[in-house]
Amino acid sequence: MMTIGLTHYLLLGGLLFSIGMAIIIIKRNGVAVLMGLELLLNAAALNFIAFSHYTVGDVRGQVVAIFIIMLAAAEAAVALAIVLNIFQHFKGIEVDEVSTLRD
Amino acid sequence: MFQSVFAKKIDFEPKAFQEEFGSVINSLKDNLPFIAPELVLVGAICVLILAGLFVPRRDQKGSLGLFSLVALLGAGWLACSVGTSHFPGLEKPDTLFQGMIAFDSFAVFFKALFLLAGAVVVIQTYLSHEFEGFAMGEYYSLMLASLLGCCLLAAATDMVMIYLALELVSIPTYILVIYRKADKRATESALKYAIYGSVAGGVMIYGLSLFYGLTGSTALTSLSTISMEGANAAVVVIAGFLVFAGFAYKMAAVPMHFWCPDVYEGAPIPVTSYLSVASKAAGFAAFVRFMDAFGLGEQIRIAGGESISIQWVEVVAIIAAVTMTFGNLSALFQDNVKRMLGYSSIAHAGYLLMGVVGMKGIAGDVEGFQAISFYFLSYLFMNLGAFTVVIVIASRTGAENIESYKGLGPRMPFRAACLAIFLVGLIGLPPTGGFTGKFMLLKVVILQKYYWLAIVAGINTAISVYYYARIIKNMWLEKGSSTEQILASPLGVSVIGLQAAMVLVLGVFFSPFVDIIQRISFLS
Repeated sequence: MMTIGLTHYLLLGGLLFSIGMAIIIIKRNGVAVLMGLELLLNAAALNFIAFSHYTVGDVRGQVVAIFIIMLAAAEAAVALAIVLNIFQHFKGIEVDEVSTLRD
Repeated sequence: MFQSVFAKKIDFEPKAFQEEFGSVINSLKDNLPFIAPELVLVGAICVLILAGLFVPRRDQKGSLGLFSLVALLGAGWLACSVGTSHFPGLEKPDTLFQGMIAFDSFAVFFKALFLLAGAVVVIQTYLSHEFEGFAMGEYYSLMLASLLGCCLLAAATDMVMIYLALELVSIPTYILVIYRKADKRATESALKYAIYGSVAGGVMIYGLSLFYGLTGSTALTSLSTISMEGANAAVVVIAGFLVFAGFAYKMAAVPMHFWCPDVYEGAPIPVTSYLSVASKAAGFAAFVRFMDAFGLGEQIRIAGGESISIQWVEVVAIIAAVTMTFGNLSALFQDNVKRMLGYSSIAHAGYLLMGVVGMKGIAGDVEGFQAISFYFLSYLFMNLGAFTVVIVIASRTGAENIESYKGLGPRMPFRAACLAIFLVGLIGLPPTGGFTGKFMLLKVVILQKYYWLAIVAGINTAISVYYYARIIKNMWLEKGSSTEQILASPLGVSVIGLQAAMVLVLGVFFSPFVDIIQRISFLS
């Protein structure tokens, strides 16, 4: 039987990071972009926990993961409020239609 | 399996734990006097939030602004006095809170710089007409929260602390940008700012997670040794670039600069001026500290005997050249003054990155990070001064376009002359602080034998003359539609005059300031 090790967690983290980045680049919906952002942060949190368990062996990585969760919540709260305001001004949350400021 | 978990618990000794816990708490308690400025800011934030509920709304801009000003100047004074004096019975520590933040002259200098910049921005907010009728309790408390983040960021010596402080700088500013939420431009720029900022933060923390795995610690001091077996240079390079994205966003350096012009144009002008100085300086302070620990090209030891060396100094030099060239070339074609100053701010990020290239200077001379510190001191007065005049013009005449600056010189002679001084400083011509600062930056780059970078910076300075001088020309040489005098307020005139005087002092009588700068050092 295959044992799950550090490599698997790192691969999963990398996959989450790539999916998150792809969503941020491809998706036009403002809320979907924020979802992609959550994936980026979760990928980092997963890495911290995996390293903390398999190589480093202290609790620091797990504490960092909790900090990341907290910051993700704070960021999401502010960003969603901004998206709501975008909806009121632009009657939609398609991020590429929000482009009145340009050279 | 469960047995092993319980076995650990049996080893737990209450006495030893109590002693260890007690000593940690005691060391934290001893550290408190050294973060007095931060504590003042925290107290002021709480007071401002509460006062915003009780003070009548039309008085808030003045009374709460005065309170924030006093709090910021008090905290700035504390930062200087805590940094230079000794406490009876307490030994001056190198690091505070278990190595989370450093207590060195570099951090103290930047703290004082941020708090001074914050004080100027509070005055600018009072001068601006953009916030009439707004509840200002939250505005000032968010501004102070962001400044608290700046103070922590400049002192952070732990990767987690850097990330937390970076977000503490960023998140309040997202809200400040959209503070006038009925403003469509502000809303759009806040969306761009928040998405770029959060993505840069997410990318950065992913890079930091790789460093945590590679080095087995979150402390910056451990960055020079990689404890993971079988690690190779590629991982270090990838992690380095990911972390760089977060810093580049805060510094507004290519390739994370896209938010800069849009946010500068859309945000209320005092917030723009805050972003252009305090938050940029905080990003640079943290970047300098990070690069010092990480090394610009020194050997990095990997467990198992092997060692690698990655020439980050080349990467930073190329980014500096691209950033300044991009910023200056784009600024040439701008009509909006705020947007032009946004591109000018990108260009200055490029100039300042030259200081990182020459970070390890020749001993006894001005080193790269000291040149950066001096440039920020001049940049604080030049850029905040220019924004103060832009705020006064926008509030009195509603003009934000370079075309509508025509004929302003004779209508507000003193303030327009001061704006000319600030712009000459931003170009980097004598006799202003901008020249002294740029001279130092060029000198450290030349001492490092990066002649091509110095030449690129010289060419860029010549390009930048065009767009800065265009404003001066429009103000003084062109005829405007009106010749009516523009009302001057004593506060506005004195603040602008003081800043112009400081720009000139830094350009002519700079030696006492250079002495201060040369005494700056940081832990490494």
